[in-house]
Amino acid sequence: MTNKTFRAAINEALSQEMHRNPDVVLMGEDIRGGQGGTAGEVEAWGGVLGATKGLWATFGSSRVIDTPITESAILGLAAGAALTGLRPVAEVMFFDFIGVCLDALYNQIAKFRYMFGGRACTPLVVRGMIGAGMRAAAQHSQSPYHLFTSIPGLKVVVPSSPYDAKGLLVQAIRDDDPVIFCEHKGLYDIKGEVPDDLYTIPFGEARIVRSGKDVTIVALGRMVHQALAAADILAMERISAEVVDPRTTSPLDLETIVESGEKCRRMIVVDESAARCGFAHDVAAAVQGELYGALLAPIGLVTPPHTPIPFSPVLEDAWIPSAAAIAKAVRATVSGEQRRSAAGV
Amino acid sequence: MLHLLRVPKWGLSMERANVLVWLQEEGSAVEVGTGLVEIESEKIANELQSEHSGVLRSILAPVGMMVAVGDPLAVIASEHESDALVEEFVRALPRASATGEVEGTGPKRAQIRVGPHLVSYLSLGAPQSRNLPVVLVHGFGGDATTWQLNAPVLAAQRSVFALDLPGHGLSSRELQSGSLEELSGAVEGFIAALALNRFHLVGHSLGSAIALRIARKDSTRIASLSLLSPVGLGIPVDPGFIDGFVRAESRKEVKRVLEQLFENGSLVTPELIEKVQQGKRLDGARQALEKIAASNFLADGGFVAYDPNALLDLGTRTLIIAGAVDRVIAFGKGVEAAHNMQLSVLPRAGHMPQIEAAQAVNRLLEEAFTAHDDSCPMETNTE
Repeated sequence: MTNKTFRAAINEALSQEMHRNPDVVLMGEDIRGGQGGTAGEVEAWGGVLGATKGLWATFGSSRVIDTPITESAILGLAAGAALTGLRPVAEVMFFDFIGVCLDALYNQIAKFRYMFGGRACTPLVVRGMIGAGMRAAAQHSQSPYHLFTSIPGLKVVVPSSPYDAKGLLVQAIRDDDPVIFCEHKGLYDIKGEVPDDLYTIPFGEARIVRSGKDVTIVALGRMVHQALAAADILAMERISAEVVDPRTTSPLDLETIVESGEKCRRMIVVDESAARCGFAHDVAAAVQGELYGALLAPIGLVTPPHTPIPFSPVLEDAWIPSAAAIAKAVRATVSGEQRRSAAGV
Repeated sequence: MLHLLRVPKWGLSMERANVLVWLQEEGSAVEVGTGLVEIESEKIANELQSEHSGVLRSILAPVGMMVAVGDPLAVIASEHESDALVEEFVRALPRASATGEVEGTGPKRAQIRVGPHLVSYLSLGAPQSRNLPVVLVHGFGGDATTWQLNAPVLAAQRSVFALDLPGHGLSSRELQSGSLEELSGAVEGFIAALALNRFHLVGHSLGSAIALRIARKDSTRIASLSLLSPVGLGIPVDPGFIDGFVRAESRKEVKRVLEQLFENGSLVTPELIEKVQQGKRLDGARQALEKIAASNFLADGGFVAYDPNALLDLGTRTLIIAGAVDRVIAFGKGVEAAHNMQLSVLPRAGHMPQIEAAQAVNRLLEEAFTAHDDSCPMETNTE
């Protein structure tokens, strides 16, 4: 058990699972990290994310495949490989680019098991970056996990810690269904205790990151850290917040969220995906169906505004759901003066 | 409104910083932008400015203190907030992370290869102590951290070694059969690898059966034997517990089995549940527990290697501690039947007296150790 970064945890999950199972192969743009470049250095970065560093040197060109800049080819390759018995982990770099390969994902991969009457399985993982806050502008900062969540046949993972990243990625690779694995780029450098050995975290099991009794804050990915910061602020005001991280949006551990909501009787859902038809709206709808009479206040949603993500650092920071916005939403819930959160619709 | 000033992260690599000088005193009025303190990280020294207006009420990190990113530095609040509120707030803060540990005294993790097993262990305390060392053996499904409230206390007087049994904690999980013979063989190999000639041996639950077996085999090297909530003295283990513990995966299932271990169910915190879940998620962990359960326990909870005469020869150096409300192994009757030994039943403790009644257990253990630190080998016959 040692302290590792989120990035190292992902690298370790890939590397150890590749050692364990020769069927695991990687594919994506530049995942070898500069092979063939003019600098003469063949594995300088380990991909633009730095997450696959060292894997090409260890496992060779047949298992770590650099692809052209063609996402449709990456997912088509992965789908075929998965159907014929391999366990591909495809990297699309930024999930903002999913549009150019959505057919493969939405209309093919997600539907194989169903349309082939259960006789085909598609054990593939699609990895990529999500998340705002890196001054990467509107086309490289989105968190479209809500789009994937709405597609039946896909499993969707949004880890928030190095421990979860490794265990959930190993689970994703071993899973017989297609899994979308969303890595928030603002988390790559955070550190946490990660076992050196292999382990798996089952999908659909939320984690209670912090216990509390006055309000439940449901948050995913980087938003878990914003929620924890909000909980620190609220603790000074003697408001005890429980932070629940569902870890996967599909399947969703509604049971744990509802149990926490039943205890605290107030709930905020924080969501970086979208101001409309997002993860927060999905959770709120499901929870009110279970807890309508038990809640003391309407469920508060903290989402970004319904705009593209600004390039201006000032505006980008204002766009991202912040600890202050979460704390404000909690105060409104607790005081009974429920308002739409500042950043809302 | 109280505002906590924390150590900021300057640049990507900053982890800790040194407090150079406070530019304001406690009680000074500050505005947004007022320079409060100069801190120096590995790469940069800079002035930290207030983001709030109010009064600098409490300085939490004095000059010269090494602090980590995120550690509390000071509290800023309006003059209208009471001192009591500020004090309560400060008391509730977690302690500074970069400063807590004194070099060399904290527990150290290491590994030893014992035959096919890689045994991970914690060592604490002063090796130069003249007192005999102690070896702590945890029970089924536990690990070295089951002794977290005991090992640091015992380490004040002697070296303490707390191992993770094969199949548990950070030790390797591959087992042959998981039998008592295999587990106690690994512990004997561990003790041999540490070159401990004479030592105190403490076991909890299944660890007691292991300790007992080792003591029966070679009692001359064992200064004292302490058995906590022991398996192997003829009282059956609740078979539902063993089966439930092996199977438990979800937080709810793990919570339910852990609550059976404690008299006070509130000790089963979300952190403890998560820690147990983390152990159980490791590849091979469940298979290891299944093997150990199958080789050691009968369907009715009886112990496969039960020997009604196990304690007879071990004389007065054996201490038995049990919780009065143990819901895993029902003590009370039967234990008294074993003669010629010290028996302590602790009230308000379940199957984990070393946690629920840590002070009492530590006192009993220290008394037993002190009484036998310098005595000659146990005057018993070995098999």
